[in-house]
Formats: sequence, C-alpha cells, structure tokens
Amino acid sequence: MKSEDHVNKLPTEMLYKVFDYLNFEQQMVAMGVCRRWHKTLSSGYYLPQRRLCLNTYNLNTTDSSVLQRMKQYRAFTIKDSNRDKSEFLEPLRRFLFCPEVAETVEELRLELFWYSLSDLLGEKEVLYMPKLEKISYLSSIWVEDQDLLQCKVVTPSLKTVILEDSKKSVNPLIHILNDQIETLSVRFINKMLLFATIGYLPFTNLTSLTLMAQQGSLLFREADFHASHLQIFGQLTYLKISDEKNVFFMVYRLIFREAKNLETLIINGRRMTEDAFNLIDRMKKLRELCLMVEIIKCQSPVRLSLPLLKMLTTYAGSIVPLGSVPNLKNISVRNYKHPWEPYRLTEEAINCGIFVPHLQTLKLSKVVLDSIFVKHICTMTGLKILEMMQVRMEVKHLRKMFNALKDLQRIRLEWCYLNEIVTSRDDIANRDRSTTDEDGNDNDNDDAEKDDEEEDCKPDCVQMLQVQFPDRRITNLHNRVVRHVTRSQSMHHGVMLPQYWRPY
Amino acid sequence: MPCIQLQSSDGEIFNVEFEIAMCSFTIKTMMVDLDLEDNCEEVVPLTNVDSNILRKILQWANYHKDDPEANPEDGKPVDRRTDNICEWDQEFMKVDQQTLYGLIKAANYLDIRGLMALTCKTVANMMKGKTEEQMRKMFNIQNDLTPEEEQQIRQENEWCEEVEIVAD
Repeated sequence: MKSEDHVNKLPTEMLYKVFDYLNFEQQMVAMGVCRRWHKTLSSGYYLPQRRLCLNTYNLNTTDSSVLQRMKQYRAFTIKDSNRDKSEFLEPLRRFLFCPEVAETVEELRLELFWYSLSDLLGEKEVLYMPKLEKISYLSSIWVEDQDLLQCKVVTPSLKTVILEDSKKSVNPLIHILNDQIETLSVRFINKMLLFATIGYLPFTNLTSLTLMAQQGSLLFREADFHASHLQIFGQLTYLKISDEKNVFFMVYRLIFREAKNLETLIINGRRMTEDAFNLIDRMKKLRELCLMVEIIKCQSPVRLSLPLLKMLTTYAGSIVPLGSVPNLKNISVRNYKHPWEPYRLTEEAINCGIFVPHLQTLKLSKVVLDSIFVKHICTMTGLKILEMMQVRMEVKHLRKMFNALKDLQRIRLEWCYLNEIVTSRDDIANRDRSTTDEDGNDNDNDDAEKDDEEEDCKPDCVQMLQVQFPDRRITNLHNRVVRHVTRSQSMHHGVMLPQYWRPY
Repeated sequence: MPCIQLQSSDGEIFNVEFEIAMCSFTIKTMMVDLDLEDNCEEVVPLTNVDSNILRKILQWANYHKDDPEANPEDGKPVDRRTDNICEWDQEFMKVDQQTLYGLIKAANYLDIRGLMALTCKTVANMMKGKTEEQMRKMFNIQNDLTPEEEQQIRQENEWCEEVEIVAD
C-alpha cells in the first residue's frame, strides 16, 4: 500500500489546483519530477504566468516541437547579448514577427545593448501586435531609436510602458504611443529626460505614473518645473516616487498642489517639508498612502483627514498624524533606515492618532516595541492581524497583546528579537504569574482573561502564530528548536515556514 | 434541526444536519433542483464517496459550519499562501496520503471549496522546499523521464522567468 503512487491517480484538473499553490521556483522544480508533472506544469494554463527569454540558443533550435512550445508563451524577454545578425537578429525577427507570435504576444521586455527596436523591425514598416499590453524598455546609451518614428506601430492594447533607459534622448516609443499609455514608469538619471517626457507630450490617458530617480540624479528646484510639466499630475490617480537620493525634496510641494485626484500616493524618499506634507490633506480621494519620509516639522503638521483612506504605511521615525480616517483598516509602521536605529515611540508619536480602535491589520517592522507602544496597541480592539518583522520586544508584551486583543486571528513574527524562546501559540497563551506585568492592576485582569479562555476552550482564538527565528543571539539553541518546529509543522501540520526562511 | 440522509458508495447511510450538508455546492444544487428541501425522507446517494471519506468530510463540515460562505467565484487562489491553515485543520489533515487524495477527489466532486483549498494546500506544502528526488520519494513517484528530457526541462527552466504580478 505504502509504495503506491496515489498522487498521480488524481485527475489533471486537481493537480492544477495543487500546483496553483506553488510559487514559480517550486513549479520549476516540480516540473522535473516525472513526465506527467512536466506535461501538467508546462501546459497552456501556466504559460501566461511565465516569460520566455529569447536567446541565440533557443532561437536557433532545429527541434520544431521546442519551437512550437516557445510560440505558446505570451511574454518574452529579448536580450541582445549576441551581436551576430545571422545568429541572433534574423532568427529573432522570424520568431517574433510570425503571425502566431505577433498576434498573441502580450508582454515584451527589451534589454537592448547593441540593437534598437527599429533594428529589430528591420525592413518591416509596420509593427502589428494587437494584444501587446505591456512593454518594458531598457537600452544603453549607444542605441539610438529615431528611425522608429518612421515606422507604423499598431498596438491597440498597449497600456503600460516601463522605461528603464539611462539615455539622454526621449524614447521614440513614447512619442508614438503617448495617447494610449495609461501606466508609465520612468527611471531617469537626467532631469532633462524626465521633462522631455512628462512636459512635452500630452499623455491624455495617463492615470498612473512611477518616477524612479537613479543614483546620480540631480536635485530638482522649483524653477525647473513649468506649468506644462505639472499639468500631468492633475490627471493621475496613482503616483509613486522612488527617491532615495531625495532629489524631489524641494518640489514635492509643487507636485502635491496639482495632484488632487490621487487615489494612491507612494513616496519612498528621505525627507519632506511640512508644507508639502500638509497638501496631502487636500487629496480627499486617497485610498492608499505610503510615506517613507521624515517630515521636517516647523510648526505642527496638519492631521490628515481622509475619508476614503484604507491603507497607510508610515515611517516609524516620523509617524503621519491622523485626523478623521473612518475607513482606515490597515497600518504599517516601517523603518527604512539601514542598519535600523532602535526606534522608540515618543510622546508626539503617541498623540498622532494611529492607534485607531477600528483598525484591522497592524504591521510593524524594524521597531522596538516598548511598554507604552504595547499599551496603545492593546486599545486597538478591532485588530485581527498583527504582523511583526524584525521587531525587538519582550515576550511578556506579546502575551499582553495576545490577551487584550480578543478578535486577533493571526499573529505573525518574522525575524523578531525576543527575550525568550517562542515556538508555538501556547508559549504566549499559557502564561505564568512570575512573568506578568509590573503593574499589579493589570495582572488580575489578565489572569481572569486567561481563565475565561481556558473555560471557553477556544483553541482557535488566535488561529495562527508563526514564528520565524525569534532571536539570533542564541542561535544554536534556536536553530534547533525552530528548525524542529519548522520541519514538523511544514510536513505534518501544513504550516509553511521555509518560504520565509532566508537569512536577512 | 432538519436532517438529510446521505448514502456513501459502500452503502452506509449518514443522517446529516441540513446546514452541514449545505457546505457542498453539489448537494445544495441537487436539493434545489430536485426540490428536496422539504422532503427529508429521501436518501441522497453519493456514488463517488466511500464511508471513511464521507465521515471525515462531515467532521470537517461540522467544525466549519459557521465559516463565512466561500465566494462562488473563487477558482484560482488569489495568493499562493499555504501557511494560513488554522490549528484544527492542521490536526485534521494528519491523515495518510490515500485518505488525503480521497478527500481531494470528494471535495472536488461535492464542490466544497474550503476543503478543496485545505487539501490542495496540504499537498502543496508536502512539495514545497523539496528537490525533484525528495518529491519523488515523498509521493512514491517513478522517474519516467529520460536523461535527455531531464536536460531539456532544465534548459527550458533556465529560459523562463516569472511574469511580475503587480502587487498594488
């Protein structure tokens, strides 16, 4: 009985349902197990989730079945690592522009160092790809693509363009397609390139813009922006600025003044002035806000009253002050500084209004959780999910939260620094008197709650406790304990830990 | 509490509370279609489910009867998380592989989405973090691939990348 291969008695549709839970890498491994799994995992059902990298080797394959399979993909990456025209360019054209591929391809990722897009087209005057939705373009400074302007590009489904150029000139593709682009992402090093893109073309349908300042980008000044440059921000519903070098510091104010229709605003920067921050309060349509910046205070920043706001991500060292946020469900407090400085909650931060009673999810990362912080978390009685990553805290505080938050369904600890070993839910649920709090009043309450719990016999009050590597300082012991839990749980209980099991 | 009688493939009859039997969309549809809702005398034969599996399913359904109803649109899992299994379910899933696959087939036949997700996640968890050889051992699978095919699979895997799913 034991040696039977039961799993392959399952019908294929059920195998799909199992494989759906594997991530890409795991699917790739499973593909090599047996012929049936390979067939299942390389069927048309999975191909849309994958992108095939076209290279000299597979483009020149003589095996027609391999070529046929390659044509079933909907997304391709093209890297011109080979300069040879006959070995790379010609077979690539044959492949890409054959009707089977050209008429079905949905995504192209171009990483071009020798050839331009117009070189790929060759003699062709029309680029016809009716289903192409997304194109990412990375090209080196040697590639000039002006010839493309003479070419007719027919890609009615194209909505998303990602430019990873470091070039000085504007990408001609943007010129040709600007009125059909809805989502644009630009990585730039030179501010002139950015202005040539966003100030120059109308982009009538653009609603989502991502700007990524590369290392070496120069600081923007208010005088750099003309009215025509700013116009575009008024039509956006999504704006993301990745700005580790803080080049937008002086112009956030200008941008925010225009960007009144935003539903999502994500700033991964360094610093922001208070008057720029105050303008966020005018974006009444905001649903998601991520501000990874330090707010440079001069008087006192406005408390944000955003009626639709659902998700907030805020920097632990400069917590966003909140006014009325009736729809806020999810707060994430993070610390971008690396290596992170132990951060302790100040009086000011406690008064900032993030401890909303109706909050459902709280995520903390890279912070120190002290007793004041914990006390305030305990007032968020609606909390269902509490996730902590690289948080330093004492186990007694964990217990306190566990006992106070009755609606908690999941506590997740990932790479946290604890003063005791915690490997299962029971370690925090079953507390003994000796480790209770300093203030005697709470003690009685907590114990009473504990008794209630036992009487109720509700083992699933917190359905899940996931512990990842509680403390690196006691590695040996921990390795053993946690690995033991990991293995036994992942094999028998179905708890998946190794996925997050990577050294930080 | 109104009951309904379910008959397993090996002939055993189970008296099941209406509410519990309703976790199966198949039974639910059958009841509505055959207009059996008022008639509790009728025995519903489940020809694809034996008594061991049915007993197990009813145990699961009883525990989960108060769960919010699964969205009927749920086909593909939105996320691939398999670590969100509650303790009771983890305990419940401590069965041999034969029972596990029996449960998958029955959950699929009876269209019980929560159980389908649970069983598939459990099997997926048995695959995760393993090499090809470890998986073959885990599931007692014969390697029927020729070395050339293995080489070819490895190569194709190298050419593949995952299409990014926009998280926002």
